[in-house]
Amino acid sequence: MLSSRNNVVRALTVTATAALVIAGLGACSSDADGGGGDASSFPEGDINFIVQAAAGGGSDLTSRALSAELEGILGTSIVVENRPGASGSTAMQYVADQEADGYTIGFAPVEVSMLEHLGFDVLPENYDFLGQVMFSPGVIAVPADSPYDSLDDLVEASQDEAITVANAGAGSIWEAATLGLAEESGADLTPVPFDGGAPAVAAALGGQVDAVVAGAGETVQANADGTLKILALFNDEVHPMLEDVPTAESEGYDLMFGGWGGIYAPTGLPDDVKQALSDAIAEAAESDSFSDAITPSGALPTYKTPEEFTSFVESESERFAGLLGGN
Amino acid sequence: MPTPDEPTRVPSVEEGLESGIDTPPGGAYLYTASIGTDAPDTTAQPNRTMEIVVAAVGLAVGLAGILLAQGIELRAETGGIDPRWWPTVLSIGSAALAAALLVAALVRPPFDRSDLETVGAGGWRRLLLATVIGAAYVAGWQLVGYLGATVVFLALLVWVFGGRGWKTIVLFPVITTGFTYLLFHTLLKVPL
Amino acid sequence: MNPIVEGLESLLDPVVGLGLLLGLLLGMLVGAFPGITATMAVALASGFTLTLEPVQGLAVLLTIYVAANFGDRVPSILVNTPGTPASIATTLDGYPMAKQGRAGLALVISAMASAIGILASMILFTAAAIPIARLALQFGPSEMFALVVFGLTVMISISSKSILKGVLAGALGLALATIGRDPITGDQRFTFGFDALSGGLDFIAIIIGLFGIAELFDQLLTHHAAKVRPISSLGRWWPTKAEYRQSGRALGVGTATGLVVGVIPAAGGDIAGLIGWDRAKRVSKNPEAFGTGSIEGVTASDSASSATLGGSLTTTMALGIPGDSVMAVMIGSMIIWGIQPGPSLFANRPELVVSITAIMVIATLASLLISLVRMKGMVKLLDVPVHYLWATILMFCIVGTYATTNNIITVVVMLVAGVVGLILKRTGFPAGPVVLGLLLGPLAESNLRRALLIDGPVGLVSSPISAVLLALAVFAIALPLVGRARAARRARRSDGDDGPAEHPGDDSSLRSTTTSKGL
Repeated sequence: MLSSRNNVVRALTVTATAALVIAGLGACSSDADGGGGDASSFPEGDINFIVQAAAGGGSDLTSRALSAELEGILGTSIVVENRPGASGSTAMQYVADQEADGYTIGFAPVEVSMLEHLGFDVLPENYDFLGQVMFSPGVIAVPADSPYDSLDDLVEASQDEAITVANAGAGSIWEAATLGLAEESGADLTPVPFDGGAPAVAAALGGQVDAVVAGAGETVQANADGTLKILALFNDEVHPMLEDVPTAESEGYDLMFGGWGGIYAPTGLPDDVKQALSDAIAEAAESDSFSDAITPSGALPTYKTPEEFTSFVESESERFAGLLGGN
Repeated sequence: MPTPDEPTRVPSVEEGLESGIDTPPGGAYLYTASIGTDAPDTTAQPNRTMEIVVAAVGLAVGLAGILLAQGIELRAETGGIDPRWWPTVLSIGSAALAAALLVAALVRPPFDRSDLETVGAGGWRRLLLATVIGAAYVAGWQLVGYLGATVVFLALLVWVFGGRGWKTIVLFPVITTGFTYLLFHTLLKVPL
Repeated sequence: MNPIVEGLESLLDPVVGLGLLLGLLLGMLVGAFPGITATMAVALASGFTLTLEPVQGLAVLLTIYVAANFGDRVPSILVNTPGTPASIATTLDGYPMAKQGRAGLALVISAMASAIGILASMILFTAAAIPIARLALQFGPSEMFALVVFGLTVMISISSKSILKGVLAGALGLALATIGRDPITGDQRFTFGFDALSGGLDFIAIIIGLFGIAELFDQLLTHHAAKVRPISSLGRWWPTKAEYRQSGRALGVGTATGLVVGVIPAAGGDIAGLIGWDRAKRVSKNPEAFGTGSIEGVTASDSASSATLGGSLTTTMALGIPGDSVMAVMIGSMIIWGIQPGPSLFANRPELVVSITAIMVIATLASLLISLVRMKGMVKLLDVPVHYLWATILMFCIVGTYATTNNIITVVVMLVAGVVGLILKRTGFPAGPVVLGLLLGPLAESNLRRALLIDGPVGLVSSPISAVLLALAVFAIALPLVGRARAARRARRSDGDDGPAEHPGDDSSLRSTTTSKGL
């Protein structure tokens, strides 16, 4: 909106000044007309980084940690803007509407592949995906005094009476994961959406529901304190913070569900800009300080190249179309 | 907007002198009718027409709500307590309350309005201009950016509200805009 | 070493002192600015506190949390605009007091009540955090539903002029809250295809519009130059002995309400303030003064909403479940510092619990001191000529609202709410019930449907907590209705005929006060 406008102006000024200097030196430059189109010159101004969640959440934390790395690598300022609201669609539509010049990028959460199936005007094809940076796998957990000690117990018990499973909200990734588990295992599960992850975990702690599907990070401490039993992790490998917890795969259910995040930009970036950004993101995502910043909250630093990430988003979108009703 | 007309309004002292903007001497955001002043009584009077209009509007909104609630599209029809249930209950309840209010407005004496003031000299003009300037500001902010739009917005507002002199029209808007820009943009990192 | 000594010693660090000062300044500022909440300030501050030591960082963040709870009362009292949602109930009596020229007194009382509320809640935190937090977990969907139904009965007592209009205003709030996605199925309701509406109307934008902008618009409309009197010239600053005595009961009731509501996850200072105000009115000797500038009203609402701070801290630290949105952000910071909130924190890191308690207490006392010292300056702000004041209020409301979402649509929502608020005000509909409906409507519906999903209809009454709360709600509705009907009958008998203001459903005892603000 405004700041991007200011930035375009600033970028233009910088570009124009640079062009004058270069022309004065006798070099030839014809790139004084836009906010960067030349690989060697990108970036020439601040980059806006749009986050779909309010300051302080997991998406915000990842975005700020990554931006701090990117600033050093790209040698420019990165302004993190939170544009929360409407399940993140406000920010996603905003990013899609910006000029594809590389000066507006954003955090692409798992919802970017889900919202279309929930009736929002958010389509993955409106974005250039520049790389995945993290994956935060989900778990299914039960209260400490629950009779179920394994995923199999729970699935079996559900044949007699439906099991109530709390999740973070209608249309959230954890509701989708619950539906996915029910489909894969044939269990009779009743998803109970709460208003956020914390109340959902609290409902399991208080025994109001039989189980909860939540992010690994949200349940690690309760598991360690012995107030919650984590039955399975929805990932193909064991979580470093939950070494005793089996994966759903090892229990015989092929399930991978979690909140992933990457970087996207409006579609149609110039190739050289796209290259510069994705190289920088690759370097930032694999840095130690980025990984140190995001791992305490249960997230796993996970890098995928732009090509891998793009096809991953497509396959996730297809999967959610089936689970969420597909309209 | 159901305008509360003022059948028994007492004209204020200033009204004959200047129809437009009044500049208060000491100035204050607040004033009070309850603590003794020499000014004429400016307490709003009960108004039956207004009561009937608002009750009727309330009834219309309630009835529209019932219709709209039936039109909510569901991805899965479950019956029972579904997403339509609560809006429907609310609309029916509101319509019933509004109907009762309408009956009361027709048959009972109108409500006491002694907690409200009458419209002051130039009041409507002031309110209308502030609203229009506010709307223009919201649009202008998008077009020319925060700093420019805010300075102009504040200058226009203080002028409409009766401020005069270069300090008021120029210095105040510039300083206030600068302060908020520093607080929000620089300190709180809000993208203005 | 003794954990108490160790915990206090870690506060001797000069950086902690600086952090406290910074937190105080920032907290007061964002609290007083409508729109920006403590959550936002804490989230932004957590960016730079991550590089500090945990105790240093906690000093900054917790002090912002506390100071904002003092700062937000100031605009509520002076200009009828809640600085944050927690001070909504403060407008009920604080603003009428200011209108009567008792702004200074209202500010002093509000600051004292807030300080006492926080300190009382911190005693509870230190004494019994873990057992209390366990108790809070008993609050499942059916208990929440019952509590919310009980909270909705507050509508009746904030409808000072006409129950019919008050409840209708409440229904409007409940209806506005249904805009957006259904909480259980995610289906769109009343969004008319706009994605911007699917997240629902922004609550902060609505309260700024309904309270602040509507009041400003009313001022623009009804300003009578001849009647202007500078309000700061009137009134005392310090309460008299009789006033202290009078507020005692309200303080007790308010604090108790805040302690209970604060511990329950998902119910915060905004709800507590309104319920505390209502409870104090029910037990007061002068219930008719509530809503017209009652000292008791200010005491009750501010002690109740402030007493939720310790409760939120309790659920956060003892369960690892954020008690409110500020705490959600703070948990994120603590985890990065390697502090994992939960029952084990109290066993493994007792010195940290001591430090946290000490920071909260120091921050409260410092905020109280600052509040009392800078009162005069604050009230003097109201003496500036109206054109400055009006322009500044309008602009601050717009910018503050924008900052909540960085989206201009939110500002448009706020301005529309202001116009609607003006219409409601001029036609005698109170704004309080609208906000109460907005706050509680989604909680009522979602918890009812959750409870039905989990246990079916039996669950609502099988739990003793919810059965008791539902019974209390029935009483809360029935008693005043019976009382009003009886009073009306008595009034008719003695008057013979209806006065101009007589109306069915009117409480004749309330009407005797002509300054009732209709809020």
